Amino acid sequence: MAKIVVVAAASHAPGIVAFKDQADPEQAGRFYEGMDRIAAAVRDARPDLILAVTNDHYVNYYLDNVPAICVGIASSYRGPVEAFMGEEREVPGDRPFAKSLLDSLLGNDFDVAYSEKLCFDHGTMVPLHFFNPDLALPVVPILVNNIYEPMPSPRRLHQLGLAISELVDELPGDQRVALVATGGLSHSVGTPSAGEIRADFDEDFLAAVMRGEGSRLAELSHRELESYGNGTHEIRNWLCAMGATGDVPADFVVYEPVQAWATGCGAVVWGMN
Amino acid sequence: MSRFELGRLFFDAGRDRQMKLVSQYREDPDSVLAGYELNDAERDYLRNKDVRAIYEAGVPPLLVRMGVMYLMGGMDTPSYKNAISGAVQARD
Repeated sequence: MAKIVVVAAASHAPGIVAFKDQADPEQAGRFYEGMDRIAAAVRDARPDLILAVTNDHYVNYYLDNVPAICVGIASSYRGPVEAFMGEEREVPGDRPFAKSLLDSLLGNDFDVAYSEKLCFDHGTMVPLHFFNPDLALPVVPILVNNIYEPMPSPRRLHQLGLAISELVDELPGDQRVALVATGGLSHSVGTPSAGEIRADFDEDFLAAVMRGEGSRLAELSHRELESYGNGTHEIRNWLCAMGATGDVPADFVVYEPVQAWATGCGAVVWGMN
Repeated sequence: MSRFELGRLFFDAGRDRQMKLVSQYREDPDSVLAGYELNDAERDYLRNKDVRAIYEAGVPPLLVRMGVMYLMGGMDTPSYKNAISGAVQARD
C-alpha cells in the first residue's frame, strides 16, 4: 500500500534557477528561503519517489498530438532541454510504480494518456533543483496540458488529485510518495501583457490555498485565468495537489512577485511538521 | 496551415538542445525552411522578422517568443510588446 506522505506546489519560472542575479536580492532571498523550508519538509517526509504534476513547454508535444493529461512511464528522463538552464542530466523514473498508477487510473475511468519517452524542461527541473537536487529520488511525471487551447479544466485536475490520493493507497508496494505540483502563479508570455504579474490574483489564490478551498478554486474558468496571464493556466497543476490533500489547509506558503523573473513566484506545502 | 507549420518550425528550434537547427538556419535559412510547408508570405515573415504577422497568424504566443529568440535574433520584452501592440491572433 503506497502512501502520499507530503504534497507541495511551487513555481517553475526559469529565472529561479537560471537568472538568480537578475532578481531583487531581498525578494529572491525570501523566496529561496521559503523553498528551502519546503524542501526540508519534503526531505523530512522521507519519500521514495516524487510524483511531479507538471506541464510541457513545447518540448514534448506539438499541435499534431496534444494529450490533456499524460503519465510518464519511462525508466528515466533527460533534462533540462533548454541549454540556458544548464547541464543536461539523467533523471531516474520509477517505471513499475508509474505503470501501476497508470493501470489504476485507466481502470477507474480516468482516461489519461501515457508516454514511454519524455524530456523535462524548466517546468519540472526547477522544482527538482530544490526538492531533488542530486536526483536521488525517482520521478514519475504527470504532464498536464496548460499551453494549448483547449485545456482540461481546473475542476478535472482537482478530481485527478483526489483520484490519485485514493488510488495510491490501493497500489501494491509501500512507496512513500511526495506529490509535487509545479507552475504558476500569474505570468504572461508572448502576449500583449507579456511580463506582467497579477499579485492581486496570486495573493487571493494563495489565501484560498492556505484555507484549503480547492473545490472553490476548481471552478475558476479558463477565461478568468487567461485574464491574469496565459501562464496562469498552470495553476491547474496546483488544483491537482489540492485535490490530493483532500482540500485541507496548507501548512506553509511563500510568495514573491519577482519582476525580473516575470512571474508571481509562490510555493506551498502540506505535511510540514 | 500557416500557424501549424510556422509553429512547428519554432517548436523544432526550441527543443533542439544542440542548436543544430538554429545553427543551420543562421547559415542557410532556406535549407531549413525547405523542410516546412510554408507559402511565400510565411517565408517572408521569417526573412523580414515580421513578429506581428507571425503573432496574427495564430502561432501560440510562447512559441512566437521562442521563434523570436532562436531564429530572429532575439528581442527584449518592451520591443516585443511594441511589435504586437494591438494585434489580434487568428482563431480558426
